[in-house]
Amino acid sequence: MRAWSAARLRRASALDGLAVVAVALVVLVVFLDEPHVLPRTSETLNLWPAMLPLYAAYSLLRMLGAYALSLGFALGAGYWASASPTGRRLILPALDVLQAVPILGFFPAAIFFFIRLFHGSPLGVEAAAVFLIFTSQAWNMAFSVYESLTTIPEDLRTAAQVSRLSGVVRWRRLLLPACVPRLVYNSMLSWAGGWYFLIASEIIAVGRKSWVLPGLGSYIGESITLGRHGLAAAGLASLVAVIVLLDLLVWSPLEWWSGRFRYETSAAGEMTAPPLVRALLRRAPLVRGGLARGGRRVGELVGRVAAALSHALSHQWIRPLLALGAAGGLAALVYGAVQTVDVLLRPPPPEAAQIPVALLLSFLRLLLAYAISLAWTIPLACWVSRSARRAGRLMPVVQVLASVPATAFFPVLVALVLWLRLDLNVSAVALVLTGMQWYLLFNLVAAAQAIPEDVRELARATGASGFFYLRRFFLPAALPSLITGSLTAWGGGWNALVLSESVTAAGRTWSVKGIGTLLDEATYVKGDLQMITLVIVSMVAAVLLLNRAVWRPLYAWASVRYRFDA
Amino acid sequence: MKPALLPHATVGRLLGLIDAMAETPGPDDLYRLAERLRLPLDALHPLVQAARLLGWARVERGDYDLTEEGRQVAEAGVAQRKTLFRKQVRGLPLVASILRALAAEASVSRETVLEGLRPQVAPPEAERQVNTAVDWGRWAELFDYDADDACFLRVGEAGRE
Amino acid sequence: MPEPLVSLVGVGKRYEGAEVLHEVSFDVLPGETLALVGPSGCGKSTLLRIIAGLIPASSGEVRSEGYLLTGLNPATALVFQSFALLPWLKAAENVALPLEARGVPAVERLRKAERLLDVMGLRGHARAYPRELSGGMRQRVGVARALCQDPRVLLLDEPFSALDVLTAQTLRDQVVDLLRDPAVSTRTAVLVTHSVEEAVYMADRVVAMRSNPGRVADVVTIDAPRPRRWGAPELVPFVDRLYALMT
Repeated sequence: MRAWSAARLRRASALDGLAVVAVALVVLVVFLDEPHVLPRTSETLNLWPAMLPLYAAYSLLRMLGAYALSLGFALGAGYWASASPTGRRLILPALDVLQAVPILGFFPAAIFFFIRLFHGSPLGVEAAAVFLIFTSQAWNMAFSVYESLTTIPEDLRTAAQVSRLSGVVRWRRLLLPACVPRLVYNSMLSWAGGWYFLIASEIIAVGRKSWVLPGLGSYIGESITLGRHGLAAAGLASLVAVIVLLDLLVWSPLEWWSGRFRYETSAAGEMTAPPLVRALLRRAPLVRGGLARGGRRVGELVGRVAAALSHALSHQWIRPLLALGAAGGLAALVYGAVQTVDVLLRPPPPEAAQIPVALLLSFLRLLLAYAISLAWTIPLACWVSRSARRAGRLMPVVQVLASVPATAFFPVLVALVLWLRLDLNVSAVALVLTGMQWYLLFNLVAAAQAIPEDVRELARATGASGFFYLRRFFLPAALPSLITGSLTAWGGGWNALVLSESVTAAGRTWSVKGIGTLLDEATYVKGDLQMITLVIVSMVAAVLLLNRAVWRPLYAWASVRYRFDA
Repeated sequence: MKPALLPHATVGRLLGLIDAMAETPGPDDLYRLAERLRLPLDALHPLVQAARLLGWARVERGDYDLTEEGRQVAEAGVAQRKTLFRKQVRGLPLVASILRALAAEASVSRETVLEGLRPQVAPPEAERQVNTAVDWGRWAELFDYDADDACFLRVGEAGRE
Repeated sequence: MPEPLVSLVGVGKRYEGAEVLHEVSFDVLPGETLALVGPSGCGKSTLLRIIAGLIPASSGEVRSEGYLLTGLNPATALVFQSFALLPWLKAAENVALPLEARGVPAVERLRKAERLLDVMGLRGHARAYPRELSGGMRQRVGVARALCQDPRVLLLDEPFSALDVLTAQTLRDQVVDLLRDPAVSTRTAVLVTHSVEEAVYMADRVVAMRSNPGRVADVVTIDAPRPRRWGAPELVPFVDRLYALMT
């Protein structure tokens, strides 16, 4: 182990010093103040703009905590699903269902487990918020880990086997690296999703009771509710600043770094130039060395934990423990199921009759939003696909745009629609659009980038352009990704429905008839557990039905027919 | 062809060509060589150019012949081949400029080398030139290259981490 | 008669009811290069993996250095047709992988890896990523990785079929020389190939196989002197004999 020698300290530069000072400042600020929780009714959150950096730090910490948990869960669940048939049979369907549940559906669970169990203490509420953010990140990431692990090329697996790779080394050298590209991509998406639902996560409310956590999301939400638009704008600006900073300092470098872990055999020179940060880091060797070592330590640690767990799983004495845990989990599930069934079997409240129609209306809105998304994302992705460079220039911009939570703009949009005397459905569709289109765009652009260069050249050589190019070159290539993206987009759409169909602005609530409004009312206004359960169950059923009946078969058909096999 | 540019030939295939050429003593037809090796002529071309550049083969009107040094290379073992290769390669303009830069600085960024080529060559060709230089330089053990940092390094100083 | 390093007696393999290999018996003698040739579908790659201990035989016995094989064969290492290098590791790290798996500390294992890369002529490329290497160089790294395990028997699964003619020929010669190189401890090899010419060029004995089901037709000893020339007339009778056996 290399010691901190004087020679290394001498190599430190001014930039190193700056970095250390910055980190120290952040730590100081964060721990200076104790978070406090206030019920909504009394004088609420301190909306003084100067509090914004602090709130930003809090929100960031919550996101980080949720992300760490999601990562741990994703690695565990994904590995188990990939390594054992029982695991796969249990986990994949479970993830399917969980992914279909809208974030508001987790409120009751969040409240019961974390807030009530901790007797309304600050810790409990924070845990609830972290849990809610976790639910918007974890399932996607677990899927991506599963996919990464099951698509490791067969000969690499055999080579690892012949080299007798096992335990920590296997995780560090084979399994974790294989997960990196998809995980980085999914992490970016997950964080974007987390920001999207930040407002919903930091203001936890069921019926009359509500808990407000200090953070950017609650800041923006409260300002909007109170009609303080200037403050809301300030909050939003801070959020955008945080997102842009994260993109520059974290996501861009990570994305560049993750390129090393792809299986393509392209030549060295084709790696895109290192981002600005790398150039900076080169001038701050201490920070860089520290980051590299820290990164290795973390990788080592994760590898050790993962290896220990997967090793323990294979031991004889772990079986009874697992059985016990499984029994406990099963008991909880059964209890939950019994409760749910009990709720379902009770005479339904009168509002329940509205569910089918509401579901249909919401579905139609989603359909319209989907069509609109396709209408602009396909041409854009098609245009991008013509040149390998365009995507590289477009993506950073798109990523930032996609991360900025449109949820904060909802009241503005609604106000605009009202002012233009348009139907509120317009705003509902537009708002749902914001929860759908980015998933489509990301997947389409990824497909555009993946088109083999010689196919592009063929298109250029044959003078293919416009609609012909779209039909013959781009669409076939992008079809599998289009379907994956559509699946995700509809998932995001269902989730966004809850926030789009019923919007609170300047003290009034504007809503259109739909399943999202029903859930919103049941959760925030009435706190009616039975109604909540009924609505969620019907939403989940609708999502699963669509997945099984439409997207899965489509994907199976498309991925067989349209593949660029070398 | 401008003498300053490196042909797109990898060391492995270049040596394979020398071995193949050595099988037929005396001048022979390039076309027949291409046939024997089952290589299309345009795949053979850069390899032949490389052999010429290093002074290992003469090519005249579709006929090739190994030079004295070329025969030496064909018969030599790996270590001797590297020595002969190194002797020729270090004199090539691109390689020489990289070596000069490395004499002054412990590491030279890829960007710097690319910029040096900018007046003469278009960017995609410049990338390929640098890649070839990396391949040749590594094999000749004249310098090393770190793909993570995209920079050239002196031999023996690479990858501390 | 020297003790065989690997011996197969009546080895058979079934996949989902279909018989892939039937009553295969032969020995791998120390110091020899043994080639397995046959039409596609004759199960030669499967056979190689059974020798490596990656797949269990359905019937018959596989012995390695006299001991009955259960699980991975500790005396063999495998070279893959597709090179099978981990793209995120540098050449030296790829080569050192088997040692890393065994817990050998970094400095020591990288030193051995660099020594083996030097044997393959790739000393300057130790810190290159696989994507920076040509096909021939990648396969050399693959061979170096296999040699890093100090195997008694080197198993090669169609190692040159993904390479172009020029590169393949150079690499063939290099492997032949390698097995006589004092810097390397491995002297015995089993080569699976679909090219009869290659088998005759490289091997001391050739196992000719037929398909449906995969079985041994005969074992031919190639007693042509070394160094051999590709396509030389003295090799032609062997090639003819093997073709006859396979069809």
